[in-house]
Amino acid sequence: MTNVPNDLKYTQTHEWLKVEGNKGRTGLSDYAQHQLSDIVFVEFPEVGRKVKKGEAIGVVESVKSVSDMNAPVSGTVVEVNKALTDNLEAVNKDPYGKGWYAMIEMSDPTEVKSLMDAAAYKKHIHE
Amino acid sequence: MKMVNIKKTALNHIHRALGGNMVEFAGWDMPIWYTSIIDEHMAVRNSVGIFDVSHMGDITIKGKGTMDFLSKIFTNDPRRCQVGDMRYTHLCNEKGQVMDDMIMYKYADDHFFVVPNGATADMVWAWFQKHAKGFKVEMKNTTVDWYCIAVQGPHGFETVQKLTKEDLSPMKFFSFREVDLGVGDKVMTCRSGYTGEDGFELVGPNKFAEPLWKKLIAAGKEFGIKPIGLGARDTLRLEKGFLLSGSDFHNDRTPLECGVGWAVKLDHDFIGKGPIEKQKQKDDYGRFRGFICTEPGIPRHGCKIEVNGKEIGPVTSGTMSPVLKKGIALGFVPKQYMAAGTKVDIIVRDKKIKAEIHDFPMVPDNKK
Repeated sequence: MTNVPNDLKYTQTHEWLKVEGNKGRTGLSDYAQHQLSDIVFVEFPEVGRKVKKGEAIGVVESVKSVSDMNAPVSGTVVEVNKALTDNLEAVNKDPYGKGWYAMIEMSDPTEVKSLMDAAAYKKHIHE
Repeated sequence: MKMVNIKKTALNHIHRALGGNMVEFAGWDMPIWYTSIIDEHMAVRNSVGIFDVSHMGDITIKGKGTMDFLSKIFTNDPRRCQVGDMRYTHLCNEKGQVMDDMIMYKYADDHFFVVPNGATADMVWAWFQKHAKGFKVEMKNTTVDWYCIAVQGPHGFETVQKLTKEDLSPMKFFSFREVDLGVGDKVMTCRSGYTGEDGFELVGPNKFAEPLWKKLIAAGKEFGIKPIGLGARDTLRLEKGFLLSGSDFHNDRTPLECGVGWAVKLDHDFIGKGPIEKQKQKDDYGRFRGFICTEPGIPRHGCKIEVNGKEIGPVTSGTMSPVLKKGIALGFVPKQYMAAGTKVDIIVRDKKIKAEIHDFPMVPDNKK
């Protein structure tokens, strides 16, 4: 059963966002990790990079495919989950916890409202 | 173009019941994986896996002209086959470029069976029909009516052997027999596969597919048999350096460039022979090689291969090797760079990933 936590926001391209003060933590949704199967490589944005909502900021690769990671909100990348490099299974096994991807300091927190809530995202993935 | 009528194998409902992740491949609704490509890959390397590869083509050729006809279109020579032999061959165009690779099976001088790739089965069938004119042959295409189940891995042999009292151990790799496997009709039992492991490929009419699948699952239970999707089928063949039609060649490479000169017999006439013969004499053609990355990164089809900043060839297949846990690739390089150990860069998203040329297979061989 696909896990879609209620306290997160979601993008059309299957990233999740957790608001933590003026920052947003992001990663790949459970639905997306399941579709991709084993994640075997990630490429992070540089810390300090300014990003725009919807912009491709890095890459996750499964055995068979390459997918962009898109910024769910605009701002500055302040941290990336370097620990993933040695524990890529976390993206598959714990996508909302140890499998997180990057932390973005939001330049426009009102953008959060334009993201899907859990109910809307559930509808999105079942279409 | 969207396929209007996506084809389903006789085992489609089983894949769906198993929770297989289904994708359209070559016009067929096929499982790409069930649980995880890596787990499935390792099951085949370490124990045994079962694959539905019914999308592969099935063509029967009968009649007095069978040998002459196949000898004209194939690079390998059917005249060299004994009854019960399987032979890998290329099908080339007039320029000597590989259109598809396939296996021919000899039942008798006037009866052969041929299995082309799924994605090219229609093209191959059309080519056969075009070139059969003037030969005394009757051909039948049973691609949609027949299943093919592959059982592969170190326990692949035992799994199939458990279904019959007939001793299968004298069967050499790349030979076939009709065997009673207890499903009501004899099964074309071929000791072959596309994984580099021991095992069988089993072929017959669709109505026997499900009973056979179930018997094999039961027989393989003690070995932890797993259903395997097309995803692991690709990574398994890639580690061994087996060509994939449409990815490694597509009407653009000769059999010599593809590294299978052994499947070209120049003592018979066949379509495309002239250019291949010339190329062999000049010996200046590119070589199909394996690459193992020595730093993190995963090469993919279309990536460039460079030496000292100079592009020397393309990657035609790439993945993360589940056995090596490194990026691996297949591709073509000019002859002067072909030596094992040659250091190259593979360009992945504008970054240089260091890699070395490696002989095939790129992982150790289990098979005797």
